[in-house]
Amino acid sequence: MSFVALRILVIDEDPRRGATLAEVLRVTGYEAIEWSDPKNDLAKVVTDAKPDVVLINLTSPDRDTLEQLALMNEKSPRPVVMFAQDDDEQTIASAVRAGVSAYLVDGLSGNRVKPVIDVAIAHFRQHQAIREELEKTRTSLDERKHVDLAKSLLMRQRGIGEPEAYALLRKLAMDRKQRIGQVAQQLAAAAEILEGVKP
Amino acid sequence: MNHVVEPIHPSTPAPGPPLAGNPEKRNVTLGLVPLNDCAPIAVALEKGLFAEVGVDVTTTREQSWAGIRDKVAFGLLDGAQMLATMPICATLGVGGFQCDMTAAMSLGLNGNAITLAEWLCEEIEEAHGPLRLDASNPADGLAEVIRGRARAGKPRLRLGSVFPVSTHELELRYWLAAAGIDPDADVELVVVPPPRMVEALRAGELSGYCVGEPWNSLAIAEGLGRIVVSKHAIWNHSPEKVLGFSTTWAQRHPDTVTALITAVIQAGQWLDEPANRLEAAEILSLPQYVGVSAEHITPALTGQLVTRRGAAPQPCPAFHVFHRGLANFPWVSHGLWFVEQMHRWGWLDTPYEAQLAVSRVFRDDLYRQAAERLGLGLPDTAEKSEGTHAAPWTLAAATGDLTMGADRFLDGAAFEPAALDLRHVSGRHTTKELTG
Repeated sequence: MSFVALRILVIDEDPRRGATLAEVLRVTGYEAIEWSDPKNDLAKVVTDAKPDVVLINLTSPDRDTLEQLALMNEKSPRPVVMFAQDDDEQTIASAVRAGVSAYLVDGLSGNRVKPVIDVAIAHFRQHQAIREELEKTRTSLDERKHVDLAKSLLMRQRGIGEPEAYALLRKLAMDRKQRIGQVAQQLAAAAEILEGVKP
Repeated sequence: MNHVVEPIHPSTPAPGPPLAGNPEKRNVTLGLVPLNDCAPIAVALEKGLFAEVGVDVTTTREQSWAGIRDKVAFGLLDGAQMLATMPICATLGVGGFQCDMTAAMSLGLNGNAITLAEWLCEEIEEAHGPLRLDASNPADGLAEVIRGRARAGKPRLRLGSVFPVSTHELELRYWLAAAGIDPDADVELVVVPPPRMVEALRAGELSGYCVGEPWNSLAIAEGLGRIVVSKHAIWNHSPEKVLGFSTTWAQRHPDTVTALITAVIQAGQWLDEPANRLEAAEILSLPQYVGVSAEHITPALTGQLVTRRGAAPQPCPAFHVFHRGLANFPWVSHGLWFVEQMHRWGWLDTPYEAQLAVSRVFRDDLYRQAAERLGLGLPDTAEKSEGTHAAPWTLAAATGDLTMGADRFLDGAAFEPAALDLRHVSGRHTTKELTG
């Protein structure tokens, strides 16, 4: 499977610990960004860095800010993964079962980070799939709109009926090895330039 | 600081019938957030009230509300001071994962305020005349400034609250919307943890915020801004914090829950004696609670609010209410109002489920058990209408008449819980109405 390195934002008040974690992540093959400065605007950091996953302490004061960003920005999924020091196995297990958060115990090594990131990635992919599904629905709606417009353009310009206009579009698409929606969009765009017809 | 806390009942009375049964768990850890209204928990501990009901309580000072919620959900904390909206949201999985939670009692009413940056207050005064605390609606002036900024192409004002679905966020939105300001479009609302609010105002990252005390008074002391409205003025005697548990924990430890409620009610009674508020400020100033100097905690706690640096204190006796007027009763109707507002802002996927969940979350039956043992008056039902009393009023009840505080909303609206019907409405971002 081709794999684009996930961008992971590490938030830790303790810069040394944050740097260690980021280093482990980089060695494991992720792109890691560290953030430990409470004077900087976290919202801006997240907006600019566009991380796929955010790693943050269970106890960090920045948790609430991050929750709001997640609530407000449904279209850019950034599952939150948290790690805590003194939690027992049961706590970690119940945290992972809860689904939103995976927990990572301190004392970071590659093989401990891996399963946590795996959980995060699974969540990320799930969100991504839902998002793509939405995107597909939206695209097909847009394409239908373009096809309707292109059909009416052709009918007007060539004085033909709807079935003929559609057949013409379909032939054009087949000739160009494109989807009918794409051809229709190009036609509509050309008409907009040439005649000032708004799609 | 060498404040010595004297127990309320100096020599523990000979145990008669135990006040709170037989707690299943005698070592309990409760989470709290550095705010004046963690006082009932702090006082119950410092004054030996938890010990009196046979529970050894440890408190931990938490840095974030999300941390409180998660630690309770995962059993790292047995219970906690929670935003009154939080057990509902956790139970529904709004803004986080799902975990059934229980609000066993209310920790008090009111306690928040909205502070605006000094420069913004000056602009409002230029546009709209002098600002007065609790004036009918200082947001009207803010609305004028916001419209002026939009015309001039200036960026939106950035205002802070403490948690996405919090009492603070809801009252800030209510206040803005009452003046015709769309909280989603006309301003930018961001979340900042309480202890960082003042810093954010100083740095110019925020133009104002809604937060619990002492985080308004601290900005006033520095001359960074002015308190323009109290939570009490937005909605008189409105719910704020609750004592929350995961429902699983509460079910496993029923006698412990009753014992804790009993102790915290007594702490609320002690706190509502005006003579005790100065001592309470000393307790809260301890590092394990609010951890700031008592001089900043005192103004709100004693109801003598300083709204602007150097100004004379303004009487605000209801700024913090910890017991009187059934302040500890977990009203289901309060929870229903939260749900109505969450729906108003389009945060609920399943509004009707939310409506149904409230009576599972706000457990007045748990409160009643403890209150009965203490011989306190109780209302007949867990619902009351809101917004219909501009002055103290009498609630007739089987246990005898109860004196209740005013419950007016700043825009004069009324909320009738029995009329709330979210059965056939659709959820999430489809129903936002500015008026209502």
